[in-house]
Amino acid sequence: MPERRDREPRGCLPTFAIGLLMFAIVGAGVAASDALSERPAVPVVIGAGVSIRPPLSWSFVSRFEAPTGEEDSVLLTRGVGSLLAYTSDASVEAELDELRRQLSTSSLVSLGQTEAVDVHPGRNGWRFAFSGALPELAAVPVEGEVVAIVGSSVVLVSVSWSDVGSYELIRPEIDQMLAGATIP
Amino acid sequence: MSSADTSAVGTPAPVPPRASGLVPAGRQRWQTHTGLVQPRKPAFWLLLGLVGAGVLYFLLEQLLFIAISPAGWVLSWVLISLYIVPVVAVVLWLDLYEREPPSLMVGAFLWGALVAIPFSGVNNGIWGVVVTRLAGPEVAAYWSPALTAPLVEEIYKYLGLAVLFLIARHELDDLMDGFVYGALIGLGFAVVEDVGYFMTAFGGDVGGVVFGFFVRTVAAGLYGHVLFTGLAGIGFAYLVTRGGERSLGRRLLVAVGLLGLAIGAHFFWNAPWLWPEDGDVIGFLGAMTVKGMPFFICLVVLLRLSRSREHASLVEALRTEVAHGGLLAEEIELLRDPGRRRAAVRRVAAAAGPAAAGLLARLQRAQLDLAVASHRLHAPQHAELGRRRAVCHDLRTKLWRVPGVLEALGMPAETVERVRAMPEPDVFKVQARVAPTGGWAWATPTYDDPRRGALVPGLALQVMEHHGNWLLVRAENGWLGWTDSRYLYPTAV
Repeated sequence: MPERRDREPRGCLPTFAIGLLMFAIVGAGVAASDALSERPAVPVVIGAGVSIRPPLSWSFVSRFEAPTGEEDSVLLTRGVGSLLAYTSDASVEAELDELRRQLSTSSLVSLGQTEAVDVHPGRNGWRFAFSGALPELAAVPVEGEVVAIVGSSVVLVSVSWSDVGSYELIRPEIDQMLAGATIP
Repeated sequence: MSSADTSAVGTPAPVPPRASGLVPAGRQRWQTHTGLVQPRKPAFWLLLGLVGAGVLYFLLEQLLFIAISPAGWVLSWVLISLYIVPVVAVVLWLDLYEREPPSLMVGAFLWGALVAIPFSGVNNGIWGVVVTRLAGPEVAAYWSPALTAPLVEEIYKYLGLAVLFLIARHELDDLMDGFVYGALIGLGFAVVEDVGYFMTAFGGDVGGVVFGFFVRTVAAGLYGHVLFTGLAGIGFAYLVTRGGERSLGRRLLVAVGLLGLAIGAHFFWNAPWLWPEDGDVIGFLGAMTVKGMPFFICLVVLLRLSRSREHASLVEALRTEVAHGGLLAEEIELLRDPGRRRAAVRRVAAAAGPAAAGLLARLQRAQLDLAVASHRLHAPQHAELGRRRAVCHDLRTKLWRVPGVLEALGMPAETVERVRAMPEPDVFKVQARVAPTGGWAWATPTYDDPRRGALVPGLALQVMEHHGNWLLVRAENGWLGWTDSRYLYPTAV
């Protein structure tokens, strides 16, 4: 008669192996990520040869039609703030005027003066700030700015915003992205 | 009979337990199942430690969700409970023949909810960074969920199966068991993950939570983690339960293949293919069907195969029990077919009333349990089987006393005579008492069987069987166990 015994192996080694594997997967991920940290960030192509390199803290959200035309725009986010970037064939003055007109249709939005800025080395740039409740953003109060950088054949426009009080936290990263942008 | 351990003859019986350690025999049952709490198993401590750490992670996350929206958080848990109940009911229904220990099922759920979730969350983030660094943020946005989550999450859930196996390997003894534990790990994972989605991706307000519940649970509930880990669990069970039947290579192939299928199903689900634009409900439902239904059908086919195998094992066990007196040959045809079982209960209800029908239903359940226990224990002399056989005999005797029952069951006259000639099971006759020094009782007639319990001095016992010095004894409350005759002294009947 076969008598079943409850003398099962305690399974020390397999248990240790399982625990080790659980943490080894985490460790392998960290090691792989570190090994790739020196690699230049893969750019996000916006269109017409223009691209930007977002820091790792920024995520790609989607592409959709640009607010002032038919071109594609790219939306990036880092949770606390967002950046919409697109290119335009129009003149920088026309593009900024159109954006000012669109933003000022809401009586809840206030706009700052347009001023020249030196964001991208060797390229002219203009910037104006805005704050208020944008209907497109569920009327949540935000603050942000519009920056336009003029290339030889194209204008890169970025509209960036965050919750009120948080914009200064993301502004350095946005300036860094724009400064490193490839603009033909 | 002669196959019992005869080493008792000429071998000194183990020293009786000290008086302070004595346990009344009637209060104990021989364990035929292994529970989750196994302090001798390192895997138990691994699970305990990881669940403990997981609780902290879980609480912190839930506090964050409460801060986002208390009403949305409460609603999330209320709604997700509506998903837990039917899934657990289906799993229990599929696990009809051999119920898994509840503590192990809870352990499986906790592994998915409290261990696999935090490890997967951390890894998805880390490996998502790797994908971003290799392919850029745009590719990562579309493909990270498909490239990281299926591999990471399925592996961590699968490791839960391995841990449960190391804790209670005898409980994983058929393909259906692998599905049960896999599905429960998947359910635990899905529940916590879904609440997280309701509170973050869907906004956490009441409207967002309801919409998230519809999308992730009502519309897609069939195709998620329960399906993936259920598939992988069947493969794992194939690996660990078919050792005597299939080569290691083949078992590994099946296990790796089904784990791969689970990962593939998860990848296909998460891949950005086929999903329509926002607002296209018909397109959304169509995409879900195309992405999930083939794997769901695959799971159903595998479950049918394992169910039929389990059924065949049950019929074999039923036949074995006829030889040992637990069942009558006439009862087998009834027991092997659920439809005929229910029809018999209805016939008895019509002929002899609902009380008799209730007795028959209890008898059928007890006989199925006996068959399952017999199949599990592989030891016809196990005291637990003796107890279960006595329960069946007792229920049958009571049932047959009800007028009209025998006619409704169509029992042959000679069978009725034979059974009635058996001793009345419920009459307890004191034939021996435990000696003043106390004694031991075992589940099987073997000194080195670790399933051993103490007998209190003076305990009245009835002797059911003899094997040399070994006696199968019964206490007044129906408890049975094997003891050495040298622990007892006879009494006048």
